[in-house]
Amino acid sequence: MKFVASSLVSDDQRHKINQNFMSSQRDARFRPFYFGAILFTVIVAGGALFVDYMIVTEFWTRALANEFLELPGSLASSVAFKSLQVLFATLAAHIFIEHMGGFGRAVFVRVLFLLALTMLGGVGFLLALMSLPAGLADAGLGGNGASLGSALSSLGIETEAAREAAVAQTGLDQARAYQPVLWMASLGVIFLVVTGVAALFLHYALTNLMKLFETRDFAERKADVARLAALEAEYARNRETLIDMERMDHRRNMLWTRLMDSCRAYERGLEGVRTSYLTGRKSLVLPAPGRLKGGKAAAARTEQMKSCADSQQIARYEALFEDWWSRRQRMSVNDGGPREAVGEVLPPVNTGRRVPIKKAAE
Amino acid sequence: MSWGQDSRKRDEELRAAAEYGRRAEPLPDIHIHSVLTQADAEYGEELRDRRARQEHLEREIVSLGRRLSAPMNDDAKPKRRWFRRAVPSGQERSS
Repeated sequence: MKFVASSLVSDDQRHKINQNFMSSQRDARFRPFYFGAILFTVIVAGGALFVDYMIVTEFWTRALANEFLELPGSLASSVAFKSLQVLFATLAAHIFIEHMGGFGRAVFVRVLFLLALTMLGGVGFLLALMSLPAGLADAGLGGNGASLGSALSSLGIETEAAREAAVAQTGLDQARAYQPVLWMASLGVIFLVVTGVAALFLHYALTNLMKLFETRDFAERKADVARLAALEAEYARNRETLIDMERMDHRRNMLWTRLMDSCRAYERGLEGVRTSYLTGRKSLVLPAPGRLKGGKAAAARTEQMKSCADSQQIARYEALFEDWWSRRQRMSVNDGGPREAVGEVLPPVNTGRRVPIKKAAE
Repeated sequence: MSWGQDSRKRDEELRAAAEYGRRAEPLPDIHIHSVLTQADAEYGEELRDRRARQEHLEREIVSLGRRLSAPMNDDAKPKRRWFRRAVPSGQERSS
């Protein structure tokens, strides 16, 4: 098996990994901002819901109250429940926004802005109307001029002011016919604006909440990048080791080293016996002087030590190792194992054909 | 565990060799053959383990690299239309 590629991650892929990491890190820095944005948008949406609730409460109160704006006891509690429909209206608007694309949302925001302008215009008109009692008095609408005009008209004297007041009264009567429609329309505009704002801020709150959760991606990405670096380092180390281990000479060297370790252990074991032999101390393993007579025992001890020394010859170990190695090679070939000398039998892949095909066929 | 670091087998092998020395017996051929066979088997096992680990690392690195280099959510956001749910561009025609 050949491990040729030094890195499994291409430069382009590594560049993208770095870009994604930087982007994720940048997003993670915005975590406090997202949190603050969620808080702010939820407060605004809650405020809008409260305003909506108050508007609808007023509507139901006016719709169900008697002429003194008093609610019967049984209907008082139902008004609160009826007013809670603003919650569902806001949710419906929110779902509507979620289903829209970018263009639709832009149109929605612009329509909302126009409605808000209309609402502000209406409020300004009301304030102007309330702050101009003198003008209305001149027109004879409930002021001093009106009462004087009515007194004169009762005496049969028709004044200019009385004529103008009569005209204005006719216009007001016509306007009063449309009053419920105008009232409903203005209430609807205000309701739409506030509900739209609540739904939009709910959308922004959810978007920021999603972004807040997405910032957790950085921690996971950081751990993954560190893991990738560790895996790549291990892969490179393993690759170097495998390149060495797959060489037959390396295998031979390692086996020879292992054999030499065993020989050193044998040498250490023999060292104690040799010392006792040289110093003349009694050793259990060597033949005791009492069992054999005189020189025979000494000769036996010497012979035994000599045979041990002979067995330690490096030439013997080399011969044994070569014998074992050749047997192993034969067994490996018979078992269908890896053949070391394949390159010597078959020609190299990229060399030209030495014998033309026609000649070979002939 | 790298090759030759199986301390239990290694210790037994070295103890057996030292025991021959303490008994003042020549190290027998069969012991040498046994040591070499045992070492060769351990070497082969280590080689197989390392190859398997290398293949596993290769798969892990490739999949992790692919996952980390995948476009982030903002890049892969599908287009939206008027009053329509977000649909990936590939499925737009077929539906």
